[in-house]
Amino acid sequence: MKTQTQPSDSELLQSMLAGDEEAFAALYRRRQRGIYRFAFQMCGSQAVAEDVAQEVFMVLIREGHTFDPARGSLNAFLMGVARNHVLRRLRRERFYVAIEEDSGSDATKKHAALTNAGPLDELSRTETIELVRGAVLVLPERYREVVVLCDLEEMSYAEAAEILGCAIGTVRSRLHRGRALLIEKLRPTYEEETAPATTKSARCFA
Amino acid sequence: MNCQSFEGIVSELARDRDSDQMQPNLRERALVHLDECAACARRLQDERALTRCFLEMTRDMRSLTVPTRVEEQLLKTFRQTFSVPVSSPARAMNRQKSEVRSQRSEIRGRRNRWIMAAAAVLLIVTGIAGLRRYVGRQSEPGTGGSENAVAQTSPKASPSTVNVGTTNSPAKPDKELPGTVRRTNPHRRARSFTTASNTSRQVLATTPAAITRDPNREVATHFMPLGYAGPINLQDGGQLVRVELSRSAMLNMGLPVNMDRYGERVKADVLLGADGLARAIRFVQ
Repeated sequence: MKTQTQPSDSELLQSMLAGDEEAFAALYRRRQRGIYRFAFQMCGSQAVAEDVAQEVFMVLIREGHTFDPARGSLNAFLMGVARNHVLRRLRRERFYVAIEEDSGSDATKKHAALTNAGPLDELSRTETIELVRGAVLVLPERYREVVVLCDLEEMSYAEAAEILGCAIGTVRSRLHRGRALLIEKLRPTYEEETAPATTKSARCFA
Repeated sequence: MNCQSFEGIVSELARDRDSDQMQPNLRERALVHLDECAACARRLQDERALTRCFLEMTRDMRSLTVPTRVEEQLLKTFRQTFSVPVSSPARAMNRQKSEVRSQRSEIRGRRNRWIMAAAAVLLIVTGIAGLRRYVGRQSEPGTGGSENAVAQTSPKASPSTVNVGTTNSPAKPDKELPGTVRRTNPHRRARSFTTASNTSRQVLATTPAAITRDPNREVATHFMPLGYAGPINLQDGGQLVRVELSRSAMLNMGLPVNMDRYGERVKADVLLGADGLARAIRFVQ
């Protein structure tokens, strides 16, 4: 009995560059989800994520021959292209600020998102997801991309480091910092209000 | 283990992935620390709650996919890029055309660069000339503020008017006659000289500089005395007035005139005495 092995990304790319449409389609179907999800989680917009995914594969069609397997995997190459497009879009649209409706129950929602007794008891699953997604979207870009790659795309530190072009230690520290920022954002605000007042040091100039 | 070292590994503990990068026994030591420190235990619970939220999000996002129209569009582009058969003569012709186009654009770019360079040089030269002119004007004696001061201190200084048509005729008083045409030449300047402090020699010395602000530009004849006025005597003061005359007036002074430009006008400086009579005239070009 013969086992049919899947061709690797590099093999598909070689076939694609030789004009094999099926190879391109297979490569697209294999990698489009990750790219699309990454772009969507970075931007929060499905339209932008579609554009980014399309641009990434257009780059592959036009400049696929520039890919060097010695420098990393094809997935890292594609995700790197996607990252560049996403960052460009984010910088272009930095001046546009979304109007958010700040409901009064935000503190309760935040509390619910991270309550230990049952984080999803008080709210529906969808609301929790939206809340966390919103918190991820307002993270600084350098932390956001690490959180998206390592936590949401479930990549290892090494894979994320390859995509981002930085050291594994950098990925690790950024992830740690990004998660800490998220917890701060999602932590219930009323805890701070009910906490005992601490003595604040103040310099006296008198 | 203390709280600080626990903080360094809390994310790995909560994520329960990449744990192979943790040192052996580190997890056990962290769990021991959790029994002792409530704050760190709470910190780990927060991290685990966040990890659960992320897992929910990941599960939710797994169904997300790019719309099929994007794939269709990409496949269409792929076919156009790779599969369009182009015959070799046509390809050669296209290559030739693109080469010609690139050569043309290169030539155009080079030409534009030269034009830009020439424009820059012209601009710089103009700027330097203007600056030199300005500096020369500032340093020129008897011009600017000092001239105005002289004019103001003159007891007889008053703006004078000259009727162009009657400049060569016997002198008229410094009044406008009804019906005469007054030339409002912007270049015309009235200048008066004090006799108390200036001699006629001084007046004659300062006059060319005062009248011709830029000697490089204006060429003037000598002052020619008007016959009926007698010798030039400026002891009592005088005025120098720039007027515009028809070229025929030059004939009256015995100067040659190009008949082709007979109808054109020519500038002239008329020296008026204190009594308002024209004493001398010179033509300026």
